[in-house]
Amino acid sequence: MSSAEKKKACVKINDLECKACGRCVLSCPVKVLALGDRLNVRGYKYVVYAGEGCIGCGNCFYACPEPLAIEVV
Amino acid sequence: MAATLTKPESINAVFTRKAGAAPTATHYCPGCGHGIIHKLIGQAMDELGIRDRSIMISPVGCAVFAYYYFNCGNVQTAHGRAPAVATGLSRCRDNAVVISYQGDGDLASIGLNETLQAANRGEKIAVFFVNNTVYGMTGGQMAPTTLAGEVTATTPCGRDPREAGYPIHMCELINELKAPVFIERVAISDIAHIRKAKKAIHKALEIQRDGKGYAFVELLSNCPTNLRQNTKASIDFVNGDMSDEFKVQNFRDRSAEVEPYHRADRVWDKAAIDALFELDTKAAPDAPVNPDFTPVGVRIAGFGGQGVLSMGLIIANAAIQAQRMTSWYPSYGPEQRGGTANCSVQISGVEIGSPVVTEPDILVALNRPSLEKFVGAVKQGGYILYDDRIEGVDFPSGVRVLAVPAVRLAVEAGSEKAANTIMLGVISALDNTGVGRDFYLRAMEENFTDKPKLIELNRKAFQLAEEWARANK
Repeated sequence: MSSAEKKKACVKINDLECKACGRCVLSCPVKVLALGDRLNVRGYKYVVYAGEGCIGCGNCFYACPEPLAIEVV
Repeated sequence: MAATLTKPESINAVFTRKAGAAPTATHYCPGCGHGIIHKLIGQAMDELGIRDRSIMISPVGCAVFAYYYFNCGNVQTAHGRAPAVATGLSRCRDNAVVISYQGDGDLASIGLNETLQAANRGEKIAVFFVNNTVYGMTGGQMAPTTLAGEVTATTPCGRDPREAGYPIHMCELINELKAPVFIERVAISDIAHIRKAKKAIHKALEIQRDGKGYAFVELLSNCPTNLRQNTKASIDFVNGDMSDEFKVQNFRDRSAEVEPYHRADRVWDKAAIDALFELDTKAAPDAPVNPDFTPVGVRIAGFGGQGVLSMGLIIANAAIQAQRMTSWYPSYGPEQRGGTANCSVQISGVEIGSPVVTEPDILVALNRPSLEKFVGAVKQGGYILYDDRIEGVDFPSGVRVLAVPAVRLAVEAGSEKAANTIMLGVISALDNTGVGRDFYLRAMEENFTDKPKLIELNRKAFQLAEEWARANK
């Protein structure tokens, strides 16, 4: 895969599914994830993406225990 | 790396089996390692294309609901019994990829024996052993893998090895066995360790895809809830104290040198089983139900070695050939020689409940202690057949007593050992068991199929007994 293609991949957060454990935050090498201030409908202060800087490494996907909460697409 | 990373196909999109308001969320606590491991297994199933071949065994423990999540075959088992169920599944479906997913309480405590036995047999199963040093679902009690000094609900002062033993090292135990193909301990902690775990999980399932044998992956995981840690502290605990006790390493990988093992198709229909046990040639037709038949109970007793049990078997086989419902039930002491032995034979026209004959219609006693023990139990109108060398025993009234010269006639026929055949011949001549002479004779001859020289001798003994019975009954 070329680096140009790699850059296309970006974190996608499904805030409903996030349980705010913070494992993705700990795994992110470029520190673009953080737990937010707002609650989702299940009552968790879900993780939010800074909006830029994701390198598509996939660490957050592998660190996340919820199958649907975080994807890299 | 894949261009995109999304939920594996092998994990359901909606957990329809799960009740409640959040059908797309797992039931696991925030930060729990189970969800990560589920995703890694699902991803490996996708990559290997084995979803339709896979059967997941859900354990007892937090992962009891694994069947909510995996889009493959599922069996939920009793506590610790996953290896037995996995064995059955693997052996009746040779092409199945059988996955046993178990926690430390399930696998290393109640299921320890079966875990080691399945590993020792090299069953074709992938075992994913989630070790978080604590019983999770039941509320944080000490597990076999709890660290020395670790505080749990049942070790409030910390686990004291002098009282509660040391943490059990499962990989090391299993590594003592020859059969396993793959053994590795990994950690579900930081991302570097999770990526290594992904490879081990993939390898264990690849071994199953290829039918190569037993693969065991121990996954050190966290339990933020029961160990009262936040996510960061729980990851640090796995990488720190836990990894100090349980070394993260590969113990064995023989996957490259092991050949696939495929069991031949086996046919278990009735015809095949009948042929295997020679039931097609040796078995009698099923006994018809006949409530009018008067049941007969026989008790045969004597020293071990006098042929007490085999005489009972001969009577039972004769009755089976005569299409009677039949049972044979032995009772003997621990002595190989010289102890007393007895057996019960029931011949009936209906199904037999208990095989024990407490009030025999016919008692055969070949020694004095046996005669004394059972003489009072014989039914009114029943028969007592005893060796006439026994003297001085009182008999109850209302029973017919025959002092059979069993040993003397047996010697006359050629061997003292044929005394039981003498008794058999007398029973046949009494003609009150609903089993004809020919059946007894044939069953006796079949008993000596392996010793044809003895058939003639015993036939002679049988005839001498008949002659004696005709003259004396």
